[in-house]
Amino acid sequence: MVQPAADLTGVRPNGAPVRRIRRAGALPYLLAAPSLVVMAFLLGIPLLKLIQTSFQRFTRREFFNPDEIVSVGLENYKAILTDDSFLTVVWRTLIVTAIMVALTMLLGTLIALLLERLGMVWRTLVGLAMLVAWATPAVSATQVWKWMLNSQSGILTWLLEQIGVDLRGNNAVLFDAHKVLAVIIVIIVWQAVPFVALTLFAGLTQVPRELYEAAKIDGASAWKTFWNVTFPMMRPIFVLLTTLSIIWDFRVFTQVWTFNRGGPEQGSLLLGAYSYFAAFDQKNFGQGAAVAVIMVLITLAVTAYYVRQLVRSGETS
Amino acid sequence: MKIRRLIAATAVAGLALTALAACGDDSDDKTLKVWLMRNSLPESIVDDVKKEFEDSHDGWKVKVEYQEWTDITRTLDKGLGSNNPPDVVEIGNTLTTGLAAAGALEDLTDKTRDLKGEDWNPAMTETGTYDEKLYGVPYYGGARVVLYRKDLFAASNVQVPTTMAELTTASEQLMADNVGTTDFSAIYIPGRYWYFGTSFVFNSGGEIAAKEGDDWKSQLATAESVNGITAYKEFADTVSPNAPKEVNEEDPPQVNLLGDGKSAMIYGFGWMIGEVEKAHPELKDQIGIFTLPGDTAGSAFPTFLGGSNLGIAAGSDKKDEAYDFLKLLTVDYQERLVNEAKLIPNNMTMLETAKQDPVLAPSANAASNGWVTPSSPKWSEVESAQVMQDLYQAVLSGQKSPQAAADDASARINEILNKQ
Repeated sequence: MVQPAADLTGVRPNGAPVRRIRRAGALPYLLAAPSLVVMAFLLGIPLLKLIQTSFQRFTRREFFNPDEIVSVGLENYKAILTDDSFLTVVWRTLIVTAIMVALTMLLGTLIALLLERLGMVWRTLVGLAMLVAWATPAVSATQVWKWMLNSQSGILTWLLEQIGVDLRGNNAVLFDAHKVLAVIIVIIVWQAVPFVALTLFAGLTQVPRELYEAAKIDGASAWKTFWNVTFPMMRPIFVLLTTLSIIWDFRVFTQVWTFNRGGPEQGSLLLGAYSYFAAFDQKNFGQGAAVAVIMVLITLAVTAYYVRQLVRSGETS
Repeated sequence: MKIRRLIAATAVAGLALTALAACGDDSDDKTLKVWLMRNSLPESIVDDVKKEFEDSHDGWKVKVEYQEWTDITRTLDKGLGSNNPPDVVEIGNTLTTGLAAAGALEDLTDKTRDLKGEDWNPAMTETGTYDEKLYGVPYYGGARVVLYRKDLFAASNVQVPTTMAELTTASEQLMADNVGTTDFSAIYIPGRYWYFGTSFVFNSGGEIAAKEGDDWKSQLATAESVNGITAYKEFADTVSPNAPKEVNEEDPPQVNLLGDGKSAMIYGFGWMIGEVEKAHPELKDQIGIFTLPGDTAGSAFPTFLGGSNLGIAAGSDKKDEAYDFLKLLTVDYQERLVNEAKLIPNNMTMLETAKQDPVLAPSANAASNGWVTPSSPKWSEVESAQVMQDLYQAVLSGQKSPQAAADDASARINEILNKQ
């Protein structure tokens, strides 16, 4: 294997290798300092506050009377970890995240491969169409989907009816938590695919043509070429995108809340929205914080895995 | 790199400016901050109250800030919990006990006599009371009435009904005469319209929840309540078989259905006439209102008694002035609230007068048989979890039997109201 994929990130678009600055002294740190300070303030302090809150009894009472705040140790964690509804939400979130990430990666890959084979005009058109989906704010996008699926006047309801799918009356989407989740998955994937597809497409353009020619001469099928040439070359990008997708999809909040506030009967709540629901709707900020801390830990675990993968692929080069 | 530095520097500078701006915020010693709900009062009344207060309080100014109903619980929490809270605040009556229990409001019990509390509408007083102390002073009430299309009534030759039975018969006639209109409802009843359904619970002698000792116990699964829910289902199946079951009365707004002729009647507020006429000028004078009738002629069906209380923030440092302002609105200006704003007054004497006012009569009559939500401070959490909406949706759609749905809702309500 010539030049495994680590180079994909170490090569500039014009093909010139990145110049390594070995002895720059303190200058890079100095230059990074302002943004690091801002980050520390904007991310660090809220995070510390969040962790602190998760160990406190902090309900509406304490919100108005800060002097009554008391530390309760692991009480909040105990309460949510023994709560069946929380565990249900965790399982639901894991399953839904897995489906969303798998669909995003699959569709993203297919569209990237399509883009590579399209001519200039169509490539631009498809790219633009995807940018529009990507750029639509999540709240508006979700609201539009909600209108399109209205059981009486929605255009999608009508279209689906033409092919025999009945979403009217008691079959309405908002009635059934599974249907609500299915639509949320569609909305998320629809907005996530563009980034994945465009990034993968950018990666594809960096795979040396000679490898494909060699594969062709060897008589490899398209399927084999993908698995033996494209995929290994692009592995770091796949790992990066999958990890990012997991992190993003795992924390999804806006679409869940805007579409149906986690209803009916809290049946479509995912972890991100559950944390909000516990803190702001049920007015238990301590427990909401504990849920959020657990989410941060899970996200950190995924990130740690990703960093390890990146470091590893760096070592093999 | 230059660009990054620039961005970082801009961010820092931007943040610094924000901080400075925050320091420069008003918190004038002699400015009274008042929060009212948007469009609850005509501008003219607000201006006069302000003027009267400023005239009698030398050097003082009143700053009125209008709030929106959307996400109002969070707005109130944020405002009352801040370092510079509103001194006087209008609070939807179902939200008052929650704020009182959390210690956000000033105890006003010893002012009751000064505010002529002996004449208050008892149901309104109940919404402002927590633990036998008064935190929210009854301000005004609101009660739903039936808005109807006079033209559709005339076309079907039906009269304004005086009993529930007559309403049902009239609705059957309207349904039959309007089969040509897609998704027509005689009275529009979407599945998640919980104020409508709960009125049936109260009409059959049931209630939402009652306090037993230190605990709250849901009463939705009792025989009386389930009878009410069953009657509601039969009623909705007759008068509104085509309405969507997965939405509430605001999404889409029910006034649209009335205006578009998709519904001959809606259960809403008197002021909605103006909204219909604004969107449909051709319907001017074609929208009438009447009190939702009870089972016997001349009686009113139970109706949710909405409206607002006025409270004083516990964190206010201008409590005396805040009280003076509160008293103006709840005592001195009540008559103008009734006559000009067409609101239900906070006291029984004026309520009797309001029943003579042709515009106010339907809602004043409805308000005399009003029900309120349980006075538990955790009630707003039941509303946030949409337990009642889920209950009626499940019943009207036929997904669950009335008893099964009531059992499920009871379990959720008991859990929320009694949790630590």
